[in-house]
Amino acid sequence: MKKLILALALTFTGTLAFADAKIGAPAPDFSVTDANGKTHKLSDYKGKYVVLEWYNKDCPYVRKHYDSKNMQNIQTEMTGKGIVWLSVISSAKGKQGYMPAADVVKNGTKESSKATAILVDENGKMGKAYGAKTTPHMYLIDPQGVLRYNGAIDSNDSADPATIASSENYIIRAVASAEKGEKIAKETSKPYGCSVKY
Amino acid sequence: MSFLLLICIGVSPAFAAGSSSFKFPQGTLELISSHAGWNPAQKNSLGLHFKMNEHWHIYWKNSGDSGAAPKWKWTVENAKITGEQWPLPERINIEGLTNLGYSHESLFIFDLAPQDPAKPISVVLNLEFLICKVECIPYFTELRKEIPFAAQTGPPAAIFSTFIYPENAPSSFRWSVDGRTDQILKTTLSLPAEIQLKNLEVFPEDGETFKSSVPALEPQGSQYLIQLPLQDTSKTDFAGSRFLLVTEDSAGNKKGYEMALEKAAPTALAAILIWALLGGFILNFMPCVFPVLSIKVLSFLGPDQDKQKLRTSGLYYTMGVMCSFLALGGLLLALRAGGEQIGWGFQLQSPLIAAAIALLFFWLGLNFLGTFEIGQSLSYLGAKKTSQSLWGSFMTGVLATVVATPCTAPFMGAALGASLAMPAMNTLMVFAGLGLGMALPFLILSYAPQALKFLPKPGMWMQKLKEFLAFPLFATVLWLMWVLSHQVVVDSLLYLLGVFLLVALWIWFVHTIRHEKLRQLMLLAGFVLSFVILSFLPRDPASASTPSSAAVDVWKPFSVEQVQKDVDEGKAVFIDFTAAWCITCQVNKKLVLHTTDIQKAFTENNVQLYKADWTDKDPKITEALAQDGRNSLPLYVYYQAGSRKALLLPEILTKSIVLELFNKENEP
Repeated sequence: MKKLILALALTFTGTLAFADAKIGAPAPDFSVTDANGKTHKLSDYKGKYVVLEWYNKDCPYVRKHYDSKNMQNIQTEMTGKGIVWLSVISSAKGKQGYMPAADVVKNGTKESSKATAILVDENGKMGKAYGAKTTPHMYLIDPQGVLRYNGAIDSNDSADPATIASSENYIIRAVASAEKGEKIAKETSKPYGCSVKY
Repeated sequence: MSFLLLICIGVSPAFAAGSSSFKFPQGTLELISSHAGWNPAQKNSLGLHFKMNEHWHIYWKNSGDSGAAPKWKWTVENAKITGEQWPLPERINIEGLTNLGYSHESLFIFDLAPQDPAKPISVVLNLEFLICKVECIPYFTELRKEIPFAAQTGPPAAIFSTFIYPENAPSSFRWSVDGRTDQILKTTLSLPAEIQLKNLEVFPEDGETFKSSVPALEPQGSQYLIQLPLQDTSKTDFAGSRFLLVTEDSAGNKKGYEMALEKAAPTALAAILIWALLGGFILNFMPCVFPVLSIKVLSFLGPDQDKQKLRTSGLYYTMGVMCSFLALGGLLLALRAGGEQIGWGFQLQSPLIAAAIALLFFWLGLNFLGTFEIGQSLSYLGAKKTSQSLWGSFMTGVLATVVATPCTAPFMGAALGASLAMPAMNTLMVFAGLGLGMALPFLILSYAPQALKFLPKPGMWMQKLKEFLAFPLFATVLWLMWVLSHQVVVDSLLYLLGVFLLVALWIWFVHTIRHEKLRQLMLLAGFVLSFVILSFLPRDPASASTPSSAAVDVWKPFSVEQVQKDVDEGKAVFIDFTAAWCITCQVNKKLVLHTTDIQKAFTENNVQLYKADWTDKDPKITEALAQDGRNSLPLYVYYQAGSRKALLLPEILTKSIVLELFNKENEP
């Protein structure tokens, strides 16, 4: 018994000495200005679900979801329920997808983006804090500020918009499960698309 | 712009007319046949040959951090495709991401099984592929090819032997899971002694489960300790995960082996089993088991039985105990599958979990001290008579487990804790081991009844042993409180102690209840309630209220920019990645890093000292660790003066390891 407890204590030191911010842990806070110059902090949205979407207007995979209106439809559906949707541009100055704030506003209108705000994370601080790897790369944060989903937007990594209809949309599923208080079936998936242009 | 391009390609009629090749601005693609004509007497294959301009690449089946593998849809007439072969990939690092794929040139091979001789094979390939430099362009195309029947056979076209394709790993290779931490799967690859894998590289096929970054490889004789960074940290079973091992033979030629992970290593399992056996054995001497059990079991082991019957009885008894324990283990697994969200690779970084474990151990400790008993009435059940048949012996085993339940429950807590991070099979092994351990003394007695006289008599010593075992539990509580003290404000600690007070008060109150069943119920309610109350634990981080105590701390807080600056200026830099909950880190600190002679050596050599404290989550430190290919503690990084190359020191430090750093530096 004592041995077992000793073994148990050893298991603790072994198991628990390693960890990082992940699913089920508080999502990293951020403070980033949007296209209109307004600052957004994660803590501003306590009590609300927050969806983060990494965006690069020239990435074919982003185009897949925007030209087909798939992304805008999900944004409309989510923001309609009071969910905060933040599109994040982490492209560094001079790299693909980077735009000055004024162009971000224009581009958002042209795209008919229904996001709550489009954040300009030009120094990549927010993107790196979340480990955003691709565009699109999706995250769901619950009203307690806990990260609940991290990964791809859906189950098909093709660039062909025709595959959207037959794909399983992970972010819609995650939100639905979280709102019902159920366990999210797929909490992580491998994001697909273009690399974020830090 | 690139998408316009893609649309143009999608609708362009230029290559719909049966072309076997496709030209695009970044390269060319050709569908080729291994032979000019097919013949059943030779191996017929198709090849998809990519040639890319400088800096462009396509992807392997697991594309890595971004990108996408090519997707093909074949329509083949008069043949079947029986297999596809992907050439060995390379790691392509693009702006901090790791992709797995091919630059320059590559050939995907598809084996054909032709059907009707004297007819041509005709092939239509619908292909989607993504080609990237930093930016990416997806292409969709259709290629066609016709291969006539040929009377002659011959070797395949030269290009088919240009690239290297993986083969199955020799059966003498063994690769098994040792265990895992929150983010790393620890494995051991064992090879026959005569085989040396030169420049071994490991590529995971499953990008959903494993990260594509380079795993830490540590050769150890004929073994490699391989730490695979996990992408999906909720997964618990990794057996069957497929990997590609790339290595070089003595002549420097690359070779690829495909291999799957096996379940836990036999050595690890053996260790688990020994602990569990011991645990089960000690269970026999617990006061709630021993008196009832000895009377009961010893009766069927009585000296008047004939030897053969005695042995069979012993075996049946053992089976009864083990089946009951396995059933308990199965129940635990079922609960675990249902409550997976709790996360079994849990983290002490969450103060709530550390506090909850402290509370659980406080309850267990009080139970061991005898402040309350669980389910005493169960013991009486076990004292009732069972028949003397073999079935009776089996049932005695089952009953023995039931009788032992009040004592087993705390044991379950410990066993459960130990098996938290294990795959399902190992958890069952723990329970089987507990069962076998508990049955062992009686199994031995049934084979050697004369040993009966060596059996200790039940008495006060059992009570004392049980009570004593409460103290290791309380010591663990102490350690957890110490961890907490580094994470949260002192109010939270007082809150936790307040919960302890309530628990004690509740147990005292429950003692006044006469009714046995009601008392048990109230105990259970109190147990559940205490965790509910605990969930309101205030969790303000400690750093806000505790200023650094050391007046002049030579250890500066870690900052990427500052370290970079020092390295650029050619200064020597030592970084200590540490955390309050990392025991090894504390030991290293106490015995090595913070000793006067090591501090003196640091000062003399003008080493810039940085402390990266990971007690609370800090994405910057997580990232810095990742850059050194690690996500675990402790990690000690040293930059020699004037060098930009990071030197990683062993996890367990000695003074000589640190002093050695400066000796080397002083050498010409």
